[in-house]
Amino acid sequence: MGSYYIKRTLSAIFTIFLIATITFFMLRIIPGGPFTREKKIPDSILESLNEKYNLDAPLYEQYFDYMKGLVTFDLGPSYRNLGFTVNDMILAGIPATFKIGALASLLIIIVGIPVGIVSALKSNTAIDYFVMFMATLGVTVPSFVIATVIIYLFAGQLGWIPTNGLNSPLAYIGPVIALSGYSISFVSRLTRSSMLEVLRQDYVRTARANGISEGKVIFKHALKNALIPVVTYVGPMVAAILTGSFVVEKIFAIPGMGGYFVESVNNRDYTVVMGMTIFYAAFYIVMVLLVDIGYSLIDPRIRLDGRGSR
Amino acid sequence: MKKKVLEVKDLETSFFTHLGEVQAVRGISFDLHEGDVLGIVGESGSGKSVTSLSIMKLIEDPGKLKNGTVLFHEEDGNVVDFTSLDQREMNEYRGNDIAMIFQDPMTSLNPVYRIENQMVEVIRKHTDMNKEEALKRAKHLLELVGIPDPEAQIHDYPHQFSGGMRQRAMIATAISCNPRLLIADEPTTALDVTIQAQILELLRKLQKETKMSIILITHDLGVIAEVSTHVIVMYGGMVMEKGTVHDIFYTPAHPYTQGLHESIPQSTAKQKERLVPIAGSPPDLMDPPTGCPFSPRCPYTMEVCLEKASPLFAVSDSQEASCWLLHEDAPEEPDYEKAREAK
Amino acid sequence: MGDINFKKVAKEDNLDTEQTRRSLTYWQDVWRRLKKNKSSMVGLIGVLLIVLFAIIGPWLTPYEYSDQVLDYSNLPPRLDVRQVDNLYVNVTKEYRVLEVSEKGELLGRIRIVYRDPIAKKYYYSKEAEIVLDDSGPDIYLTNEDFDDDVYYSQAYGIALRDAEYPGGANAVEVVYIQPNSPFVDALVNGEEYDIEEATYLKSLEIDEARFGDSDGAEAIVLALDDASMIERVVFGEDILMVNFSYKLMDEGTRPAGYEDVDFTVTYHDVESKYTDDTVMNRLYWFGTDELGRDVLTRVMYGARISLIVALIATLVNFVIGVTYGSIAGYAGGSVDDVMMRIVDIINSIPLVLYVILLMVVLREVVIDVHLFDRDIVLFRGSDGLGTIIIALGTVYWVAMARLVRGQILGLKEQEYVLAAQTIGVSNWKIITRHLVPNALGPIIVSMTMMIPSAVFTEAFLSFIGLGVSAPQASWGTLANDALSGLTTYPYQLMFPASAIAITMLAFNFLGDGLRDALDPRLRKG
Repeated sequence: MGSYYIKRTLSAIFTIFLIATITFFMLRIIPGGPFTREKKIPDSILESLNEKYNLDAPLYEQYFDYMKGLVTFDLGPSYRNLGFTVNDMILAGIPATFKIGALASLLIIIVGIPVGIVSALKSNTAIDYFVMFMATLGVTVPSFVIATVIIYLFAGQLGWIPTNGLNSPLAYIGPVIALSGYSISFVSRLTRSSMLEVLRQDYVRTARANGISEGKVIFKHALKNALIPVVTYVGPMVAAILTGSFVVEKIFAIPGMGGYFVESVNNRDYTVVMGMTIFYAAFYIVMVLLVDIGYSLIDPRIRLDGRGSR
Repeated sequence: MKKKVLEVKDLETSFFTHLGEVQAVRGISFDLHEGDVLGIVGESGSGKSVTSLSIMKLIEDPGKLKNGTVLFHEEDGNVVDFTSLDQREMNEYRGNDIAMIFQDPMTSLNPVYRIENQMVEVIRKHTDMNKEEALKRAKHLLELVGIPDPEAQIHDYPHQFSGGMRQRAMIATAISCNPRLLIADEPTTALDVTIQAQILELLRKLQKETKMSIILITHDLGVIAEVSTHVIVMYGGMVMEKGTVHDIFYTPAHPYTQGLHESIPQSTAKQKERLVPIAGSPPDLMDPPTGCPFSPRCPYTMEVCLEKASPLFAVSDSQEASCWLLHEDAPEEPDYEKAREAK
Repeated sequence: MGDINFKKVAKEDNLDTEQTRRSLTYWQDVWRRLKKNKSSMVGLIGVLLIVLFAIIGPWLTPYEYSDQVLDYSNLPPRLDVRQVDNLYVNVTKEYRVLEVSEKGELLGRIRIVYRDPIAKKYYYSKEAEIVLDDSGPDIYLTNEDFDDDVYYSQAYGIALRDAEYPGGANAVEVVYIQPNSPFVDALVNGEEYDIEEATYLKSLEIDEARFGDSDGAEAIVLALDDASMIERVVFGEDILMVNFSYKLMDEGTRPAGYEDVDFTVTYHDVESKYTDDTVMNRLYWFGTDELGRDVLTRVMYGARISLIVALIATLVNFVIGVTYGSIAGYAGGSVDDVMMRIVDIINSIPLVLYVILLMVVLREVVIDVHLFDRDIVLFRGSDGLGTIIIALGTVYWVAMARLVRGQILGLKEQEYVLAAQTIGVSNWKIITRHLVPNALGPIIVSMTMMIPSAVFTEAFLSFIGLGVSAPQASWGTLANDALSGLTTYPYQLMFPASAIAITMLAFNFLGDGLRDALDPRLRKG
């Protein structure tokens, strides 16, 4: 049983290492190097820059240096914002991003799952149709559209919430809804279909045939099974929230990691792009790992078989 | 005269799908007495499972119990009509006075709870036992149904059990509150042949010990022959024939029952003798034949068969069949063998 | 019961209904099932309409996606029309006055000739030049709330060619110089001018620098760190006077409800205080964008780009995924283990990140060949279109590979495969002739679902600035471009956004329907 967790953890570490390697070499094959500008920098300056950042060393040496830095959580300097390191930029962005990310995740769980359950229990009623209509809209309308509509209606026309920043509690409403809209819809759809599927299962009928009360049938016997696929989705959901934050942070002008990432992509600030990619990927992999462990706690079949069913 | 346990009268159940009404059960009546083992036999779609679920009031949307009464006679002679109870009241009977086991033991136990949890839950629901007493009872029951080492096994999850063991655990749960009636819906269909025999043997043993009545639903005439005392043959949502197991096997009166016998291998058969399948396929329950449901496949179909379903005609004291051929004005009963050879 | 008819029924009359049913092929059956499903038919019709819209649409409009008419920039799909005397005009949100017909056809712009900030009056004339005399001009606009600092539609500025700006190429400072100022006169006359005397109005960042012709017709934007940096301006090679239309304000400073500011239009001494009518914009059904390009045309061309990207990316995914999956599934054993382990690893990476990374790398790549004394560029990453197709096409095949492998694993145990193996059919043929065709159902469903998610991802990438480059535009870039003017011109975002949403809905409905129609589990019922 323990060996399953160890195996999963080792495999996660290996994957992070692999991602770091791929990312490093991908950004190194970009023609021109990090100091190429529209206007040519004098060769003497370029040389001194290359020397300063050790870019004239052989590639393998640079690679080992980078990996060494990575182990000590040092992601190197930014090539654009001189004087800043990638760590500085990530650390500057983390508070805002994680605040809206955590709120969005919370909203997804406390809204998406109950709504899905209600929709399943009231299937083919007006409530169900309404919920599913909204959920279908939610998964088809891109987050940047949701965000801009929120800004237009609630910030612009009605003036209820600020258009940018995170300076008041009200300011969280827009970005959190925009960030969680897709996932709330997805989770409620998933919970609904999973719940309907589970309610058709033989063991639910068995529980009913044994005189178990309807409340217990639904909340004990059906719900735990129905949540298995939902929990599986939580990992990718975190990624969706993180990458969704690129757009949402841009629109709401939030000083978060997503905004910095997009900025450095557009500025060709390659060390920042590289560092943030690795950071995102590592975070994602750790989340998936945690989800897998949580998943094995719900579903005994995984734990004892020692393998995931996905 | 044995005491009655169950009286089913004119039971009708339909499923209202978006494509139309599927009439799964179309007027079924039968009585069940204490200690009887009633086998209900029929092919898939004949309505036998829906009948049992209707008795338990476990028909789910879009299904609906349209008509009929299900009278349950309690131990003290009190009679309740299940059809008039709501689900909450029904829960007092289900798992307690009337229990049910299902076809597929692989999926009939909740995969995310331990056997212990699932059994104790049922026992505590219907008795005043505390947790320890219920657990003790559960272990005793597992031992009774032949689970080796119940002390340890009770803490297992269902997926750690084999199919046979799961069905045993299902049976143990079902009999945990000493039900007066056990409904077994194809209890052996999903199991290996050797395990099938063991489970049937177990059911027979438990029935003898507890004197409970059993309704055994199956499509397997062999299973019926092995454990039943009485048999109902269903087709197209209707009763074709009912009688004691002896009646049905030795003097089948309905052409469908006769056809069933033709289609199973006999140990006494001569070499090279071919099995005779019943031609055609079961009726479309969305649009069932107006008359006898078997008329499109029956070798003796008469005009009346197409117009009107036959009532049950008594064949003997214990046997009834719904076939117009048994009407007193009907032409002489044809020789089934001859009709077959003529084909 | 006296008249019971015991006559025997002849067997022929007693035909079994089941046996008379015509049997359908698998695909006929799928089509029959699909036709029964209302929402999937809606989806199918939607998909067909969108494809028609993309293919035929651009031929039906009189505009090209890059046609700019600056006079007609930022016009909504419905125009407020005022009748003043015998003249019908529309006053835009930037206080441009457009002459329209009663039905809503745009006839031309009536140019502003003079602003009187003290009287809060703007003067317009249909003539090219007018002389302000006591009688006044033909047309003027009055409004108590006119605020010259904010509501300029036309501005003059200066630009330095090749200016170095520390914020990078995309962050450009704009300096608005008040028209009719001595500074402009000096520039027009080619004189030297002391910049300190120019009225410095406002500077704000805009997204993109556009250097055009030096005659000032094209919008040219100034690249200056700080207006005060330039002390003297000589109109010449490197410094240009520019005339540009600009976004009225950035959202932050716009007062709520500013659109409702009413003003009076006066023409031949006839006053019009209120809008008489709202009519359809007959020239531009969906309105125009900030450069006066037809939104409808751009949405149609955007549909082309978005759908081409989605379609090619899906096909590439299909080829890679099916090949990879069928090899893994058919080979089995350790080959399968290794191949699936790789898939597992790829699957544990957030793919959007990798698309972004690939885009970042690819946009710097230029592949060209030197042929017949000419350089032929085969691939230029900065064009965006090829880059985005490659990025999407090479990353999302993993799901397809898993699906196909699962199918093949099941199918290869089937008797017909064994039969083919025993008569010596080559492995390649078994895969292509026997296995893949039988796994086609789920493959098609997953491809149908892949198209909307490719549209989605493309829009997302374009939105964060990694999409196709101007003047080409996909729906995502259109939405991105419309973002800055959102509060004033919401329709510019609404149309591409609805196009994305409708496409997603249509493909999702169709995909759901196809899945139900192709699902072998439901085939039993």
